[in-house]
Amino acid sequence: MKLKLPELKLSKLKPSEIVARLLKVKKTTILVHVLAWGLSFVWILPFLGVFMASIRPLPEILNGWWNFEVFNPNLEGYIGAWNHPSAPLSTALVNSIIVTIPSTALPILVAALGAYSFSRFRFPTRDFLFFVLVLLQTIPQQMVIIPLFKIMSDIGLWNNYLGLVLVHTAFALPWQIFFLRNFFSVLPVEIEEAARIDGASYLKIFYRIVLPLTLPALASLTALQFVWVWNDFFFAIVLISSPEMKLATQAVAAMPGRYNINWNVVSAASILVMLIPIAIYALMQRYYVKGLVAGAVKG
Amino acid sequence: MNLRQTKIPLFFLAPTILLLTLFVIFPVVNTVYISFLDEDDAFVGTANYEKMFSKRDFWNPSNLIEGKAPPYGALVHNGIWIVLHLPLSLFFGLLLALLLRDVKGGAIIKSVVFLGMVIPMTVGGILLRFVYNDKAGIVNEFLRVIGLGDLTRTWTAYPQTILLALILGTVWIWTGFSMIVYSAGLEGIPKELFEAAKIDGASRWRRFWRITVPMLRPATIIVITMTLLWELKIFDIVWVIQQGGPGGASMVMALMMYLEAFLNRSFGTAAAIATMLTVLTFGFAAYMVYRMVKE
Amino acid sequence: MVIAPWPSWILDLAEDGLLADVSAQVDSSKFVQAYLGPVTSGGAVYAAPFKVSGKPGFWYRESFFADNGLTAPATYEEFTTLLADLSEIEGVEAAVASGNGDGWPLSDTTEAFIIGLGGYQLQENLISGATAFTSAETKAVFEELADLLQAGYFSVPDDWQTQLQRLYDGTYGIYFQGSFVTTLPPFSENLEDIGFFPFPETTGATGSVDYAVMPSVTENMDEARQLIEFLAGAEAQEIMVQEGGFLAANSDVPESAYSPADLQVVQVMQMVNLVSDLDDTIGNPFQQTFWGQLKAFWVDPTMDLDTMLQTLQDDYEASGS
Repeated sequence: MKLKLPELKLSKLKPSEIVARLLKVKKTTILVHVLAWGLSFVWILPFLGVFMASIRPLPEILNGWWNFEVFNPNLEGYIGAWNHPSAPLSTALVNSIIVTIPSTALPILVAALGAYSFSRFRFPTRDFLFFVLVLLQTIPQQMVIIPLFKIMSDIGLWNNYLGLVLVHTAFALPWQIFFLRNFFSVLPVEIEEAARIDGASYLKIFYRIVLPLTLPALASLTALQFVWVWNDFFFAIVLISSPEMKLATQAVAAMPGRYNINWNVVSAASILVMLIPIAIYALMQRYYVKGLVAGAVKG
Repeated sequence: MNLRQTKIPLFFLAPTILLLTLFVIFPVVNTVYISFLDEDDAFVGTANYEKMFSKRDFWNPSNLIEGKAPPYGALVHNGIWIVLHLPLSLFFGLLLALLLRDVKGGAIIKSVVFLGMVIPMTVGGILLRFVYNDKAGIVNEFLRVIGLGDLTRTWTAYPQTILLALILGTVWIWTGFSMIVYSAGLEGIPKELFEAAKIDGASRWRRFWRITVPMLRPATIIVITMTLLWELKIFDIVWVIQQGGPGGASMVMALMMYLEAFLNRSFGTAAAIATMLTVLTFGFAAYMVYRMVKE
Repeated sequence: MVIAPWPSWILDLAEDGLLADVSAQVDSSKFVQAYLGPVTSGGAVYAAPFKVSGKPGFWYRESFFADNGLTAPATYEEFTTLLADLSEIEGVEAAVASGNGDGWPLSDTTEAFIIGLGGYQLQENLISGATAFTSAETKAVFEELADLLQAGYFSVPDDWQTQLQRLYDGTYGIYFQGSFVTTLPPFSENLEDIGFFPFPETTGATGSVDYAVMPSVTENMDEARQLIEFLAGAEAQEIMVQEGGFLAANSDVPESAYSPADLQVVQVMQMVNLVSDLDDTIGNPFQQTFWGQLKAFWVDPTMDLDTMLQTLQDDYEASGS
């Protein structure tokens, strides 16, 4: 392939102008691109660092992972993290999955039913209840944890995944109901009304007609809730205490403390734990961002 | 639809009401109640709140007033977090959103910047620990490269610098959020407005201040409110890095609440801290809540 | 049945009625008072001691010392000379490595100084409250520590396990740690080159004990009790000792069960008075504050000692009996 180079009076031009002329773009655009990609590089450096730390031996990390004169990557970090004696990721990751999946599915179900009521039905105290719901979105986890700890201990659900799932479900309801109600309010009611006239029960209308139309919103809730529950640490440390039941965030947090391990193991553990939410985000990016931006009040 | 029967809504609403009452509403009220009790469950009025303010870990502004290094107390630390973190992440988020509008590969860059929001904050803490380490961390290597090698140290080991280091680190983590919200906000501004302004001869700067900024107001409200709430609730990062140390220089309210409740078993004090925290979150979120309810 | 190393927390639970009395499963003649005392309340024993790790002294690499003509100090004066000598060696950043974690490596080192300079009774008195943290004798220990810190003999605290590697690489000269470090790399792979010396002229050493407890109400009461009795017994503990790195709490375990490195630790531990770990025994809020204050003290030894000691005393009193 023959390249046809444009005529350039190189002696009179600055480098940025040369590049600009070559690419037929404005100088400012070059600057913008350089700045943007530069910032992007800065932003990804810590991730790059922790990845390097996870595959290199400790002496190489101690001297700075950006030095590549000695480079002997291995998988010991990952093996050490997977089989760690007191916080093995092999069990912690599975535990997180056991908690996260129900904690994502259950609230969506309950919230959909609830949001539908707020949207389609009129009943006494409806507006007041909705107002309370909006307020509840801002409650920090710290505000509920002492009584929850006591309640769960009393009903035997402390150190029990069911207890944790229930807490996550309840905590998700305010923002999920708010989100879905807004979604329902722009959904046209004609189809539902027609079905009602035909004699269909509310339940049937709900899951036959309404839910399928709500799928995009449900996808947003799924993405957001999954990541939030997976990343949760506070509820986990109070409500789950047996070592073999600990979740991934607990395992990773336990490492640089009493049971400090070397950087390569901690880094490998970090990578393993963050891969899942990153994957969910990557797969469901559109829905995740839509949910986040549409006033999803999740901290 | 206009339905008068209340039986149906109740069936739809029952699980919601049950779960919320049992696991959210009752605990909130109960925590407030506990904050007025002492260890033997006797009513002691505001004693726990007074005790809370008397603790150096919570309220120690004398160091700040005298211009000394932290610790200043958790309440002050969260305040400093807000004062520094909010403008910085708002600024960088807006900057990135503006920059990346027409950049090739902008979507990839946005995803990279947003990654900090998707990872668990315990991992975020580990990343920051690593980054600030004297020998093994990139922050210090960067300082050496630009000739400021004298300043290198493990930033998270010193009371004087740990708070600042953590705050800057959380800017790196959280900027993705404001960037995404602003990106969406920018996309929602009709192009015609800009066209009309250009025709009228408005300069770039003017177009920015007269059109972009006002049209971004809803986005800004969301960014400010959510960021404020996040800054108040910082927990995981501080836990992983120095558990509030050294000497309480990185203590924050949420962590202190946990330590009081589950290490010291003083539930009254812990409940007071939690209530105080919630009053603050309510206060900061009030405007946004008001707007949400107006709809 | 749960394994826990924090006696004060165990006592809290016992006093709340959550733990079972296991006096019948634990033969108190086989355990020293330092192990049983912290988990006894109202005459009843609530935990079975089975694993002890001692904090015997300062570890070092023998070949490193030999190459630099250094020997283990026998007196405190020789110790401070050693610190000065180590600082002069090229490549050594600090004579003593400081470990970070939640704070226990620093508190262990500090306790070594308390016991070494103030005598083992000082630590016991601080635990019992007979001596206050604000007392002159305590302050004297911290003043000496402050001098050594200001001379730059201690490194900035960093992850305690990473410091093992740095010690081995010659970045540091000595490192105060527990006996379990012999099970960790790079020590575990080079046991012939690793040695330690106790704090010179010390009269005591701390040991930390892992206890087994069982809840007062559980489905398998009998099995739990049998397990506790087994763990408290000499047979189980001998097996554990043979795994290496830990000492048995039960005094019936024979010396032959230990590896040479561990045996040296055992011998040193037997020559001194065993003292309970200061912050583990006092508990919270003291422990968190102690760790936090030490972390700050280590990087800023010019901080006001009176304020720090008063803070420690206040939180000591807030930590209950």
